[in-house]
Amino acid sequence: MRRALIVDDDKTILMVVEKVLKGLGLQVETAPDAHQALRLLKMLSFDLIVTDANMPSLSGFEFLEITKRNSKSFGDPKIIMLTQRAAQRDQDLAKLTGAHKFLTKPVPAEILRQNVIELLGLEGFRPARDGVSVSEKVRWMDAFEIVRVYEDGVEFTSPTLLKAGLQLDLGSHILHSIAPAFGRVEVTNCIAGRKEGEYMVTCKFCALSEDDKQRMSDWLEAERKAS
Amino acid sequence: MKLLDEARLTELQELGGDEFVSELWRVYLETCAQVVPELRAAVTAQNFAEIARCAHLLKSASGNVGASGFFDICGKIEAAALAHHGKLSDLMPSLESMYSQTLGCEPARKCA
Repeated sequence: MRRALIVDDDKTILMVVEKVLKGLGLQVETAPDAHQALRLLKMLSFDLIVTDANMPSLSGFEFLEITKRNSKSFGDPKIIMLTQRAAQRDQDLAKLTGAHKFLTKPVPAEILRQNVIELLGLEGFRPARDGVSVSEKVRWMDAFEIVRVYEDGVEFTSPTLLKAGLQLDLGSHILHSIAPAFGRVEVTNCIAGRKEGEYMVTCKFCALSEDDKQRMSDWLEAERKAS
Repeated sequence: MKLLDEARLTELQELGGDEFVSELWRVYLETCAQVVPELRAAVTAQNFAEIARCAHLLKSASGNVGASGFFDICGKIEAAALAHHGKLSDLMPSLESMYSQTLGCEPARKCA
């Protein structure tokens, strides 16, 4: 799995950027300042760095200069500078210090997503890797809701869910399809093996007949249209 | 001056759902609770570098979560601090007013 490092002293930026990157299937590490980021770079290799420019102690530009000077040990990650400093001189400086992209805050999620896809060559990325037509925005959340219910062990016994095994299976399958995009999600065929704090679900979809898969796909599509 | 950037809030909701937006706003309000007093103290001390730092951080977080009114006023304060401008004290009542409105807005109430 590809790994990304986000560096920003604003926790809300870390949260939003992390959400976008994990949605693209990346493993994500975060650092609140450049010093911590450098420590992470010494321990792990990264395919992508998203960094702020205006940070206390060591600026994003200084951080990139150090990264560039140590490219032999840090590898050659793609770099996005994400900052409120929109002036041309800042863009030029970012380029000089090794940034491949320069984006201004607050960055729309789709703009960030497209830039990451372009930089990392993820053009073929699709969250669902099978025949199910998934409207990701709507369906991912549904899948999580189903799993949360399942993990709580409370609603699992409700007649609705037991009867609607279709929904549970389908939610599980969607998670199975997109599991690499979410660090906390693990898929297993053994529900007894789930650990506290982890989402472990069964995916029965893969073992179904083609007719049943089609039936589920149709149901999902109808649900998507209805929503 | 609009209190909230509805388009940004919708985008965040689409990105992560209601729980994500609530958690994001909870973290945002924690940041404000820490940094706003630091900003007030810096204004009293006329410490322009510290004012700019605080205002910049608040502006960044506010823009990110869709608190557009607070984003705007923090941007003005940051610019005034960077220019060592005397209008800072005039801007503070607007900041306090907008901060109160932000604390009472719907996304803030939802994560309380």
